[in-house]
Amino acid sequence: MSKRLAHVLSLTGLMLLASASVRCVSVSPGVAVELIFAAPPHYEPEGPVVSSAAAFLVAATLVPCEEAPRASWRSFGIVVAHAHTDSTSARTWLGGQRVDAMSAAGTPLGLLSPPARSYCELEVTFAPDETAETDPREDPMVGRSLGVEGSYENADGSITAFAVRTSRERVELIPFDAPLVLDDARDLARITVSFDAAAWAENMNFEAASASERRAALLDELHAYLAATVEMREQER
Amino acid sequence: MHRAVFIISAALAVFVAAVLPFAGRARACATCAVGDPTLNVMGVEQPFAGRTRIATEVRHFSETSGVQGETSVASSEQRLSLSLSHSPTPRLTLALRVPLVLRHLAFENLATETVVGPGDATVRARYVLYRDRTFAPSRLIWAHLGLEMPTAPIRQGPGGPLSLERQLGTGSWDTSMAIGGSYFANPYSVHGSALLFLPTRGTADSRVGTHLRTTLVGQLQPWSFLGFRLGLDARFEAATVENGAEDPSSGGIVGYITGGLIGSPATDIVTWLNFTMPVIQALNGEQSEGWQLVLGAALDV
Repeated sequence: MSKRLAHVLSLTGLMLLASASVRCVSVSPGVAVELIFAAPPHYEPEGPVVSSAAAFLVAATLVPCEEAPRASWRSFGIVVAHAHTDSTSARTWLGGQRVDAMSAAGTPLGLLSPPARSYCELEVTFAPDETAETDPREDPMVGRSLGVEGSYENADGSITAFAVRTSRERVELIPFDAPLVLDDARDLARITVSFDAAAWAENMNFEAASASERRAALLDELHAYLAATVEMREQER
Repeated sequence: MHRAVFIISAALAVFVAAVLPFAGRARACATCAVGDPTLNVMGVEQPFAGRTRIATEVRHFSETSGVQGETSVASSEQRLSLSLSHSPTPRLTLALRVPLVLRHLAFENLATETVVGPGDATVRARYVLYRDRTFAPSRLIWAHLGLEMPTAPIRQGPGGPLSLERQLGTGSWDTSMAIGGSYFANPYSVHGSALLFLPTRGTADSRVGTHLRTTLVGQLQPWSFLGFRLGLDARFEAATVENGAEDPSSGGIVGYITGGLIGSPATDIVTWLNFTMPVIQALNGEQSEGWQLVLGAALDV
C-alpha cells in the first residue's frame, strides 16, 4: 500500500471517529394543553344530595375557532357534524377513561400537543367502556356512559335514593368563555372539564319524572351542566 | 439559514483539511491518465488502476409530510459527507461515504428539534462491465452494488426508539444495485443510471420504502476548467412502513430537473454546485419535497 493511500485511510479513520463523536440535540417542546376532568370549582350541592357522579370519557378534541359552528345554530339545537375523534390529529385526546365528576383533585386525562392556532370549543365524547370485564353487579357504571347517584327529599320529608345511568353515547361541544389562543411555543394551557351533577339534580323533578325520563333528561340537559375552564401558563424553557 | 452557513463552512473546512496534506504532491492530471478531459463528480469518474479520490459534499434538502394545519412536520436537512474511493484495478472502484447530518424538524405545535450526528455510512463497489477501449473510452457501462450501514446512533424516547423522521439514519442494512452508463464526446458527455434501493427492517419496526432512482444528465464543458450540467431525475418509491403499518404520507413518484456547474480550480481538484428542483410530485398522502442544493469538491490523490 502506498504512503499516499495509507495517509488517506488514516484521514478517513480520523473523520469516522470525529463524525461518530459528534452528537447534539436541541429541542423546543412547543405549545401544549393539559386536560383534566374535575368537579366544578364551587361545588356546593343544595337540594338533592349527589353521592356520586361518574362518566366514561372516550375522546376530547380541541375545535379550532374557524371550524366551530355558529352559536346561533346551537341555540336552535341544530347538531353540526364535526370530524371528531380523528385518531391522527394531535388535537384529539383518545383515551377511555372513567372520570369522577365530584373529585376536586380531578382525573388527569393527558397532554395534547395541538397545532398552534385559536380554539373555541372542546368536543367531548362519552360512551360506555366496551372493554370492561368487571361484573356490572359489582360496578354499576360498567357498560354505562354517564351515571349520577344520590338522594332527594320528598314533599312529605322522606328521603328517596336515586340512580340515573345511561348507556348511550353522547357527543357534546363545550364552548370556551374566550378563544384559547396558542401562538407562542411556550404556551401551556390547562383545560378543566367539569360536569355539575349537583346543579343538574337540583333542577330535576325526581318525584314527577319516571326512570326513563330521568335518563333522557340526563342526556338532553347534559350540555347545560358541562363546562371547560381554561387557564394559561407559560412553559419553562 | 445560519445552519446552512455553518455546514457549508464545515464542508469547506473539512475539504481544506483533507486537501492540505496532499498539497504539492497531487498526482499529475488524473484526467490525463484516463485520456479524457471531462470533469466528473464523485461516483461517475472513469477508473484507472490506482486512482484514489477523496471528496466532501454538502447537501441541503427539505420536505414536509402530514396534513397541513394538523399533523404536518417540516424538515430540513444538511448532510455533510466525506467520501473516499479507490480503484485497485482499471475496472473496479471501491468507495466509502461517511455522512454527518444536521436535521431540523418543525412541528405544527411550534415544537422544534435540531439534531446533529453521524448518519448511515455507505460502502459501494462499481465495476465497469463494458468500455469501448482501454484508453480514453467514449462509452462505459457499469454496475454498482452498495450497502448502507446503520452507523447512525438510534435515538431513544421514553417509550423506545423515536420515529423514523426523528432519526439520523434508518437503523437498517440497506442494499442498492445500479446499472449505468456514460458517453464521452468532448466537450459533451452524458451519464445515465438506474438504482434500486432495497431497505430492510430498521429502527422502531420501520422499513423505508423500496425505491428506484433514475437519472440522466448531460454535460457541456466548453472549457477545461468549467462545465455545465442539466438533467432529469426521477424516484419511484413504495410507502414506508412504521410500527408494522404503511405510512399513508410516504412513497410515490417525484420527477426532478437538475442542473449545475462543475469546475476545476486546480489540477486534480473538481468542484461542483448542483441544484435539483422537483417538478412532478405524485406523492402518496400529504407530503411535498423541496429543492436540493449540493456543493461538492473532490481531489485525486
